[in-house]
Amino acid sequence: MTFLYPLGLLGLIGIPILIIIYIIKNKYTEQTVSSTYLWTLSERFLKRRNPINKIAGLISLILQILVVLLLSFGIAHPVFTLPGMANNYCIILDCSGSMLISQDGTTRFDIAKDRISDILDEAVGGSTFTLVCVGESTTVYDGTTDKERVRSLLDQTQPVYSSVSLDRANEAAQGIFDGDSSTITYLVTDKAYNNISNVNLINVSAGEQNYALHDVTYDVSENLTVSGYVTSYESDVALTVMLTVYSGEESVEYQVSVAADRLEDASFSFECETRTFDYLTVEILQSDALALDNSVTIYSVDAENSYKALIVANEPYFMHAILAATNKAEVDILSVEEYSDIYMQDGMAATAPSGYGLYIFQDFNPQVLPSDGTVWLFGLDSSLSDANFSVQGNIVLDREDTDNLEFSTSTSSTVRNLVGNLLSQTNYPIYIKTYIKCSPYRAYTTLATINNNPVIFTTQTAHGNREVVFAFSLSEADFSMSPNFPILISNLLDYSFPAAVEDTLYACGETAVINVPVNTTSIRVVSPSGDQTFPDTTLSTAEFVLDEVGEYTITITIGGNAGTYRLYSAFPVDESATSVTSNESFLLNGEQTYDGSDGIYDDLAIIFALVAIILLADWVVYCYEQYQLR
Amino acid sequence: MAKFVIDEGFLQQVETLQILIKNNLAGLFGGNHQTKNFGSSCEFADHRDYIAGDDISKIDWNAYARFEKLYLKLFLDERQMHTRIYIDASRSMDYGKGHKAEQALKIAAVIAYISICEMDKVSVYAIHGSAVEEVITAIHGKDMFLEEIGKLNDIIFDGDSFISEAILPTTVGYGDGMSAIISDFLTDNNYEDAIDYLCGKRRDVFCIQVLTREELNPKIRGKVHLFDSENIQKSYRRNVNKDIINAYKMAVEYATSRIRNYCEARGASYLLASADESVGEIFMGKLSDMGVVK
Repeated sequence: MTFLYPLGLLGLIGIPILIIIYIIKNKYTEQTVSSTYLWTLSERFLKRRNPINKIAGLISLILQILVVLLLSFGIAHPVFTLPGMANNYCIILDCSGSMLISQDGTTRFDIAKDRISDILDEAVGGSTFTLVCVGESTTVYDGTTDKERVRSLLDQTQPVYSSVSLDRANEAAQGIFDGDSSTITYLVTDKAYNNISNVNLINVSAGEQNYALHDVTYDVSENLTVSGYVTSYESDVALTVMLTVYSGEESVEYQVSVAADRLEDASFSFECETRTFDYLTVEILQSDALALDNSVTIYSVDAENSYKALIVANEPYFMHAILAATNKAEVDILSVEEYSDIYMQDGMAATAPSGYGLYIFQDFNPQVLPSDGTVWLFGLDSSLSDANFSVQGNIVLDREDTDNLEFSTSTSSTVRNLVGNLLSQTNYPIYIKTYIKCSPYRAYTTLATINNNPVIFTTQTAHGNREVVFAFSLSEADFSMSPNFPILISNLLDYSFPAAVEDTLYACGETAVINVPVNTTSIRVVSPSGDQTFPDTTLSTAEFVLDEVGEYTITITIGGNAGTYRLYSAFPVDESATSVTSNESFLLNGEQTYDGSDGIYDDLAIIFALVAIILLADWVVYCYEQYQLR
Repeated sequence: MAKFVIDEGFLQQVETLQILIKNNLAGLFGGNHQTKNFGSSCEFADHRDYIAGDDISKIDWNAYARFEKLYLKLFLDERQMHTRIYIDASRSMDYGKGHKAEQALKIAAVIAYISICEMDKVSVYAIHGSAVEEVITAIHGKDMFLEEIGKLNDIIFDGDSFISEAILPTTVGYGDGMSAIISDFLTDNNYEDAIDYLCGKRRDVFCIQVLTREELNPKIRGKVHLFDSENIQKSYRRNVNKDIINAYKMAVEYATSRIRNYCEARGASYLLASADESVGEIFMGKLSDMGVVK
């Protein structure tokens, strides 16, 4: 036994002082009464005294000496050595999503922390604890003998919403085990392992009732059809699945009953009367141990990627009809006069509109091109400083030049995406009467030529936006009557409006991909819990990991305009299972030894508890003497 | 020094009380106490035959007219008594918060007033050591009572008191009324001889023992060293516990029963009065029930 503060033993001086005071002090209270006659007379009637009463006064002194003794020891803080009783502990905590399964309000993760706390309580002082938390990443907290620090780390640790891998934890535990083969390793998880070695498995699963939705998909080739699966992990149950379809301010609900046998995927399907929607929610109405896997929300990709387009033309009918047919954009129309009155007033510098994803200038020169959207130019008759190409004049073709337009046969991906699906020109020839000879300044992609002159090509404006140039007027060609015209327009719309979000339903733990539009200023991602991230916008795609379950909101800002997109991160189906026997193994190679190190015992609680008890006893003795509580 | 105040309202109440004298009265004429002898009061008692030499003014002429024989009318005799009140003026009567002395003075004053109202004479004595000091001497009539009763406040309670040694040498009268001894009787000193002596003088003896509530039921606990107020040499040092308290209560019972039994055996009256008891309760209640007053 050693003392942390040996000077505290100086308090033992109080014992002889106490004895001296006890001897010196006259403990009899002097008092004068009118007559002692009756008191003296009472001696005649006093029964024989109990000899124990004679030493009753000493009991108080003995108790007080004990108090001084214990307090001195307490201040000196004795530390007892417990030979060979301390151990090295390695505790691996599974922080996967299934640890969120709860029963009676207590999650598996809470139970796991309680079990670890029990291990800490039972461990002898001086033992070393290494905590390995396996979440999105594996965090190894180096060995410490401070139990409170381990508890603090446990309090800070939260389970993730996705599946995890124990490989890194296995490596870390193996490293610790190699360093000290007497290390006692605990694996605290909700999965059973058939193949473990030198590991104490603490399984916190308790066969909770849980149902899960998974593989929910939709199809709008005809009317909206939503289908998916439900699984019950503990018993055969009849579940009610509800679909709510939201479109604008309206919502429609559908319900279907599903007989879900234990561990069997039971399919369900909803046939809806609508074809378009903004988003839909599928949920299981019965409550269970884990609510996160009972609902899924799917946002319509088309709804999330809708744009606004502006047509500036005196005869916009063809373009308006085709854009409306594609259902990919809301269309505003301005006549040339209206546009000139607004943006090209006499005596003032020309300006450009903003707030649209697509600007179509048909047989009109706007002088200044917009800076925040894709620009389509039809029949531009003069050069524009920010159009990145020059106009060198009109070329009139002979009538004999039938089928004089030649689409590019380049194998580049852009060309294939834009003209690869056009119908054969042999069957659908195109005649152009007059075209405009253009000379692009920068890199451009030619889609069609006449006499090797590009007449349909893509490039970029001086502002960096995508630009599609038709070097002829639709009124000077029969192209708009060709079946290839709507096909090409549709392809160009896909090219002009690259879907920022191509998939709106992910599983938690997956990486979401966003197509970064040209000139994107910033992308802000807000998680279901409100956490914000700002992915890199310099690449063509931005990625971020979904680490929460629920709705993510993505705000893409281009110039001064912001567009909002949503996607849903669903609970991973692998984590929904309540009783899982992992096929993986958790092996620590080597021979387990049992050589404990020296432990310590320095808890002062017992000493102070004894002091309290003795003080209480002293008080009882005092009352016994003074007030005769007997 | 103990002080007491006479309550006029209370005195009006006790004015109607009368001390009952047990023994044949041998007092002076002019009192208000009827004796068993025939006398000259207005109270008719009996007739007897006229004998020569009798006072002819007492012949009942109406009876003579009816029976033609001389009868003499006999009347009861009424005597004036002398009430003697002895107050223990030792220090123990006036120590602490018990107010025994004050209670003793109140009781003495009320006994004196009742006697005065009965047209008796009253003397009050203070017992100091082995001597009796006259405080009020043979007063009669309310005027004298009011003049003299204030002297009770002059009594100094100090020192010890030896009741028998003090009373025995004094003139106590013979058969002429009540002798009241007011004391706490907390003493080993002899008081029995005084009672015997007074009874032998055919006095109506009335012992009033005044004790405080603390003396009857002490609250003292724990280790105490008690000193006697009358004699510092007397002390009691004990760890007072339940056993001692029980023994104390037995001692109280013994001390009070000792004097009570002694008084009863000699036809004397005895009253145990608490110091904080009201005088009205004592006289209207206890003494009335005991038949000492009516």
